[in-house]
Amino acid sequence: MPQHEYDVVVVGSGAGGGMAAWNLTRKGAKVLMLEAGARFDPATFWSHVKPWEARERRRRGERSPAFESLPLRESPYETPEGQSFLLRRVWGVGGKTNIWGRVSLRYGDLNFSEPAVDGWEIPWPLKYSDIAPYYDRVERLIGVCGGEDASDFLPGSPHHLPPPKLRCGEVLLRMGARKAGYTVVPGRRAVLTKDYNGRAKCHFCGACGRGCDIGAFFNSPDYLLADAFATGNLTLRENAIVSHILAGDDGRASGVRYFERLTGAERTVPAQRVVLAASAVDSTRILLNSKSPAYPNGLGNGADVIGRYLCEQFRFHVQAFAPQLYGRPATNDDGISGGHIYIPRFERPDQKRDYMRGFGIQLWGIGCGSNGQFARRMPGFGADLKKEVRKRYPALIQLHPYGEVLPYRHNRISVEGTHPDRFGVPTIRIDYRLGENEAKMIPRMYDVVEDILHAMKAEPLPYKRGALDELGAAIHEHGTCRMGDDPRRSALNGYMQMHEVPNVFVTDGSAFPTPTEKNPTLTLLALTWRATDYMAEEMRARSI
Amino acid sequence: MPATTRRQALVTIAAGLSAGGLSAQREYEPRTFSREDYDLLGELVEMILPATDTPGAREAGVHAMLDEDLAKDAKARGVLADGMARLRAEGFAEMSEQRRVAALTRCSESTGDDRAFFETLKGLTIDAYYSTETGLVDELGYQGNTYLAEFPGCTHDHDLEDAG
Repeated sequence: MPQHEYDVVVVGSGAGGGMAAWNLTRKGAKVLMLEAGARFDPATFWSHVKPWEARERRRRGERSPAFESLPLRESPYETPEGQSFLLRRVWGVGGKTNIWGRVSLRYGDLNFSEPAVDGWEIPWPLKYSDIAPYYDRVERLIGVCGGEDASDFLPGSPHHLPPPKLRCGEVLLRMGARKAGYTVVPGRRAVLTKDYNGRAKCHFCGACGRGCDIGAFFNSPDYLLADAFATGNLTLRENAIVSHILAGDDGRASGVRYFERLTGAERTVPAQRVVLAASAVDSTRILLNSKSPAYPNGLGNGADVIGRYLCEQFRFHVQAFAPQLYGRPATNDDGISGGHIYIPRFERPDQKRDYMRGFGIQLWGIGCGSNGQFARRMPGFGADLKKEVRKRYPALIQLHPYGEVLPYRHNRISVEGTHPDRFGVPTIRIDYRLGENEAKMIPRMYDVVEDILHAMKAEPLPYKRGALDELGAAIHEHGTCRMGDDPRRSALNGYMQMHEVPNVFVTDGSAFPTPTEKNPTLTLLALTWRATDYMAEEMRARSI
Repeated sequence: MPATTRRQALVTIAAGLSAGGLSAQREYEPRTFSREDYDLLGELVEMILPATDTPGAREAGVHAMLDEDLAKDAKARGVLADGMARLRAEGFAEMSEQRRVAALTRCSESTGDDRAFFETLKGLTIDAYYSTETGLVDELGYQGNTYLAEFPGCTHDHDLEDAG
């Protein structure tokens, strides 16, 4: 019997790993966290470096934190000839929560029940009422601003912090969309619009994407790991690139293998229980590479579902101008950065349409921004162009519809035949295409955008109907290690526990059987809290 | 908008004093483009976004920024250098202002290489110019990326309700 220093080994330190560590350590479990990258120091964030100052800094050889470069260097990915997938990962303590978009929308009963209604692939193993108490807890813990609205499409919350005021372009967009018959609600974002739980509120500098130097939006290091460290129960090992979960003769996970990034040394840590939360794609890589006589297809993959059913949202962007704002004095439109309003999904599952599921519309990039990129698509050059750019600068509006992609068996992450990384571990290939259902949804999405633009008398910049952003750009990968009640069609149960390997839990986006049209982080936090409550009970009962 | 604010004048002087400051463009030594291309590039970016009541792209140092930025972008560098070679072959250097505008307009309306040249020149000029203090603050009035105690939102809702 190996000596176990830790009760649980958690792989990854983002939303899923952070929440698992937070909840388990406060219940007294000793946790070892393995993180592929290193800590980011908020003092080095370029949160308050203006564009022209950034250039001067770069000229002096200074660099802002490279949030996204490490995984591309250490574990690049392939796509089949003629296909692309934009995979954005952050290796480093906190993962993507350091720079995420902060959109925090509850999934509705509509989202959870719809696969059972339309029959596409497998149903969720839980209902809204199962997760609602955890949404409450998460919102109280991290602070989410939003309105008082509530609907089947977007359940309400009694815990919202005050929503930020609207920018002028948002006032006009809201008027136009309502005139066209669509519901517009305050955006819901994990940003502190007032001092909360001892943390200082947002100061509206608009640079969230470069990391927040004061932690005024939810991120795993400030909101979860700090508390976990304070219990004395958390040990963090940085620069530990996990390659395999090892299985013992009893079929249970017995350890985790990783490579020290800085020395290249191979290490194995014994594990009584594992929480895998390395992000959807990297957890999938680890599971598929964890082959053994008991698990020839990868750990817990007897049903051949792991790696398959990759799904997220597809999206596109339409930019336009609100003529009511032409020539107005420029204003500071940073706000909490990103949209202060949202158009939730409005198509009901039972509504007659020629496609399943639906879309919501996000609205960011409204008003005076920190660049003039919109001018690239204005005609002409010279003094006339310059004059028109100045006139239209305060009038910029943007619509970004997000549509749900169905889970398809052929959309998959695989490790067979890929290039090995520098430690000899196979990297991943992403084979991902949209299907007919998405193709049918796209024209409707453009119709709705055009309805709204028309109702507000907006002047769009040139766009091509049907054009989409690069696949993967929503950064919401799901489905490749999905939950479900049926072990023949899913890898995890509703508590994110592997059907075949009961001492392994997978708490990242890979566990979601459908992507919905919404951003997943709030739901992942709620699911993980619930899963680790269950896990702690099972540990107490000595069943795992 | 004033042509040059007092603050901007001070910034310009300060930049001119520091080695490599973009406002000290006479001292900037191109390392990506030839001296000949670099000088022509300065004239072209100025044609895209010229001086009006605020300085234009050349004074803002856009051609120096492109020289820096394209050091590692062989494709865009090639598109610009090839396009400038074609303009030069047409006698661009000796053309009147009016004929120069006509030549660039022809590029913008053409297809193929000339169009790619124009779009690259215009796009890179826009991105660079509106990232400078001159382009973003003095020209557009950008006030962002600063500390605010409260976010005021749109301060003329009623006005807009009427307009909408």
